[in-house]
Amino acid sequence: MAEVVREPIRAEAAGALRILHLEGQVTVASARRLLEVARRLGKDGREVSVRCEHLTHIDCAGVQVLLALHETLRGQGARLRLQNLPESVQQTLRVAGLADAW
Amino acid sequence: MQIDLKKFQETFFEEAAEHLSTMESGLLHLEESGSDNEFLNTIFRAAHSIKGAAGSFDFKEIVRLTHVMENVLDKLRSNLLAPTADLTQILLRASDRLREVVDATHRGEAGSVPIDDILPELEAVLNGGQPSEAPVADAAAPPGVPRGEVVYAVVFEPELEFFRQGQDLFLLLRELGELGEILSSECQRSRLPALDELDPEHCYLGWKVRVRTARAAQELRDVFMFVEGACRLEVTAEAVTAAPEASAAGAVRTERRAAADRRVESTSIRVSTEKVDGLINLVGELVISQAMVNQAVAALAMTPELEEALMVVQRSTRELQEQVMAIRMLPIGTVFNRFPRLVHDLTVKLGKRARLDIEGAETELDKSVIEQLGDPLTHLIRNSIDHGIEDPEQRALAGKPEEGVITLRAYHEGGTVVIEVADDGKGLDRERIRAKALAQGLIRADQPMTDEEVNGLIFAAGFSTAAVVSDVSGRGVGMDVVKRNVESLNGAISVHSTPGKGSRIRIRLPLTLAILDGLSVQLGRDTFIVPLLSIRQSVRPEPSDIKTVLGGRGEVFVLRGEPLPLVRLSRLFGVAGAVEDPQQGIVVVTENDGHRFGVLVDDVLGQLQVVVKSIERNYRKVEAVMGATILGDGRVAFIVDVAELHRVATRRKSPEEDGRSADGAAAAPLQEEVA
Amino acid sequence: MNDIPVQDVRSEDEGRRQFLTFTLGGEEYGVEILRVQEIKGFSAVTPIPNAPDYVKGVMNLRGTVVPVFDLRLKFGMERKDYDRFTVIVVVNVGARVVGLIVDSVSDVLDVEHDDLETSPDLGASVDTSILQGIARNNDRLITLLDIDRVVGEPRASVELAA
Repeated sequence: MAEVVREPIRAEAAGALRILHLEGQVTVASARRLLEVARRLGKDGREVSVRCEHLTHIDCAGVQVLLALHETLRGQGARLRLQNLPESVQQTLRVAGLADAW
Repeated sequence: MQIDLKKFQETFFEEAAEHLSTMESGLLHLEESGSDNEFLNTIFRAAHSIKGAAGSFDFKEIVRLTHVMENVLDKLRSNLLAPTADLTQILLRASDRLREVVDATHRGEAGSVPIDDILPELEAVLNGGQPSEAPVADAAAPPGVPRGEVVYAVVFEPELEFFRQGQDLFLLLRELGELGEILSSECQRSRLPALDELDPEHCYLGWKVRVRTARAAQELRDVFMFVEGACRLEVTAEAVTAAPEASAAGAVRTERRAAADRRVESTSIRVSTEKVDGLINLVGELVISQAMVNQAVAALAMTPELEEALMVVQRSTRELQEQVMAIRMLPIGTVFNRFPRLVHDLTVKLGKRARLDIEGAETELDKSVIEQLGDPLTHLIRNSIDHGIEDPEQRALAGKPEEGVITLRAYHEGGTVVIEVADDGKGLDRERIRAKALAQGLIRADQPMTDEEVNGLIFAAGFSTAAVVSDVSGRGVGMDVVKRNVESLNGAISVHSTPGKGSRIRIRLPLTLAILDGLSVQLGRDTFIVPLLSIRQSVRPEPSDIKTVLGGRGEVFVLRGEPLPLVRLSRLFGVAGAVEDPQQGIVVVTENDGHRFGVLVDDVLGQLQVVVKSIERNYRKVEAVMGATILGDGRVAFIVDVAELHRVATRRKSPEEDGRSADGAAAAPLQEEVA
Repeated sequence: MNDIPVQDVRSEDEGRRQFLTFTLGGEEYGVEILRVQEIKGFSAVTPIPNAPDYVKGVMNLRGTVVPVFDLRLKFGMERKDYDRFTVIVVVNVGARVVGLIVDSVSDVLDVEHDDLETSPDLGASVDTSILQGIARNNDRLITLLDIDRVVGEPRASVELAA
C-alpha cells in the first residue's frame, strides 16, 4: 500500500470516543480545515479527545474553533478535552486566560 | 518541576536589551534636559534593573560595569556632577560597551569583551566630580532606589478582521506578560458564535489582562503598536504598589506618574484608523451632496431664507470636514525625534562634528504621510553628514565653526507643509556632478544647463548608485528613490546649494493624502482630475504655438518662446472621441521636478476639492493615475499622476523614435509595465 | 482503534451548495451564492485607461471604486449591447469587490453533491481551471464557475486576456 502523507488535522473514531489529532502549527492558515473537521465532530456529539503531543503552536484562530466545538459538545452533554499539551502551548493558553476553559 | 534557569536567562537578555535602549535614548537627551530628576531616574532605573538581574545570574562583568555607571548617574542625579558633552560621551561609550558585554554573555562568551579600559574612565569622572569620598556600595547589595510598581488593566479587543494583520495575538499577549507579571487574564468569549456560524478568518475573542509592572503605560501599549488600527486598546492604572524597599519619596513620585497616566487616559480615546477613514469618506460624500444641492437649487427662485440656510449648511460642512481631517493629524516631531541619535552616531563614526537643530516639530501632518517620511529623511540626513559636512580641520580652514549644523525644519506654507533638510557644509560640487552625469550619458557635453538644473541631476535615476560608495550613504539607495518616495506622497522635492556655504533640500507635501485640490478636465466623454499643485497655467493654443518635431513624431507647445513637450492625454489614456485639433482644446501647463510640459485636454471644467479613493483596493495600479474620486453626479473620475505621466510620456517617445523596432516593450500595453 | 476517513463522520446535507445562476449567450452559468454581495442593474461605468477590453471600467458602489468585468468578453464570446436585462453581479474575491456583467440572472439553484460532475472533459481548447464543475438539473446543464480563478489576481487576469 502506498504511503500516505498524514493530514496534520484529522479525526478518528475509537468506539464512542472521537479523537482529534493536531500536529505542528495550527493557525489561521489551517483554521478552515480545522473548522470543517470540528463541525463534523460537533454534529456527531460524542466525547472528543484532542491529542496535542505533536502540536507546536496554536493561534487564536485555532483556539476559537476548539472553544466553539467545546460549547457545541457541552450542549449535547459531551465535552472536549485537551490532552498531552506541550509546555509552550500550555503557557500560551495560560497567558490567554484559556488554560482552564476546557 | 525543575526550574529551568536557561529560560529565565533568556528573559534577562530580552529585558536587558530594552533597558539598554531606554538608557541610550535617555543619554542622548541628557545635555538638553540637564539634571531633570525624572529623566535621570529613568536612565538610572534602566542601569539598576540590569545590574540587579545580572547579579542573580552571577554575570560579574555586567554587574561591575553597571555598578560604576549607576554611581555616575547617581551623582548626576544629586547634582554632584554636571551633564557635560564629555560625560555624555563617556556614558554612551559605556552603554555601548555594556551592550557588547551583554551580547557576548548571551552567546556564552562571558569575559570575551574587556571592560578594564572603560571602568577607569568612569571612575575618573566619579573622583573628579566628587572630592569628598562616599562609600561605594557593595555591588550585590540592593540599593535603596524607589521601585514603584503599578497594576495596569489592559483591555484588548481585536476587530473582526484582526487576523488580516498577520500578527499572532497570542504572541502579543505573551509579549505583554514579559513586561511584568500577569496577575490575571480573562478571555471574553461573548462574541464567539456557534460552530456553524463561525468564520475561521474572523477574530471573536477579547481580553482583559491585569499586569503588575514597573514599566510605563506607554510601554505596554507599544506591544500592540503594529496592530493599533485593528483593535481597541485600553491601558489603565488600577493600583500603585510600592516595592518594600521603596522610599516614601519614590512612592509619591510613582503615584504621581500613574495619576498622570490616568489623566491622559481620560482626555483621549483610541479609535482605529479604519473608523476615522470611514468618517472622512462619509464627510467627503457629504461635501459632494452639498455641492449637488447648491447646483440644483441655483435653478430655483431663491428666497433670502433659503439662501441663508444654504450658506450655513455649506459653512458647517466645510468646518466639519476640516475637523474630521484634523483627527488624522500628528505632529511631525514623531518622526523627527529619531534623528538626533542618527546624527550623533554618524558624526562619531565619520570623525566629524555636527549637531542637529530641529524647528517646527509641532507642525501637523496626516498620519499616513508622516509614516512614510522616515526613510527619505533618514537618507537625506545621512547624505548631509556624509557628503555635506566637512571634517573639523577643513571647516576650521574655511573659517567655519568646527561643529557643523544640520537643520531639520517643518512649516506650513499655503495649504502645504514644507520640510527642509539643510546643512552648512561644502555644498554640491556642480563640476563633479556634471562630469559624472556626462560619463553616465545622462546629459550631452554641449548641453547648456543652469545651476539649478545641474543640482537637479542628483535626483536622476541611477545617478547616485554609481557614486563613490561610502560606508554611510550610497548603498544603492539614491536620491532618485527619495524623490520617488516624495512623489508617491504627491509631494515635490528640490535642492538649493551654494558652494562653500551648504545645501538645502526642500520637500513640499500636501497636508493629507485623503483630500486633494484639483482641476477637472474633459477628455472625450470622460472627466479627469489634475492635481492643482502641479499646474502652472492653462492656455488655449494659437496655431503657431504647436510645432511638430522629428518628422511629426514629437510635438511641442511653445509657451512665450519656450518649447515644452506636449502630451496628448487622450492618446496616452486611449480615450476615444477626444479633441484632435489642439486649437479646439486647452493646454494645461504642468510642472514636475523643474520640468514643465503641456498636457492637451478637450476642456477645463473647473477647480474642485476631491476625496481620493483607492483603485488598487479592488483592481490594481493604473499607470499615470494616482487614484480615483467620485464626482458630484456620482460617477467615478480618475486623478492624473503628473510625475508618472511625465515619466511615461518621455519613456514612450524614445522607442518610437527608433521606429518601434528597438524592443517589443514599445508596443506593449501600458499596464503590463507597471510593477 | 481503527483509522477511519474523516468523510465518514460527515453528515448528509454537507454536500449541498447554493449557486446563483445567470445566462451568457444562451448558456447557463453559476457562482456560489455565498460569494455574491449584491445584484445591480447595469449603469454607466467610467472606462479605465489602457485596460483590457473585458474590463469595462469602474463604478461607484456607495463610495467605493469597484471594477466591472464583462464576462462575455472575458470568455471570448461575442460582444452584446447592454439592455434592461443586463445586470452587474457584485462578488467578493478575497478582500476585493468586483462587478461582473452578465446577460441576465436566472435563479438560485441547490446543487447536490451527486449532481456535480467535477472534471468535465471539454477538450483541450477550453480552460477548465476556472470551472468548479458542471451541474445537471433536469434537462439544464449549468457551468459552475470558480470565481477566484475567473477574476483571479489582477496580474493573472492580464495573462488570461492575452
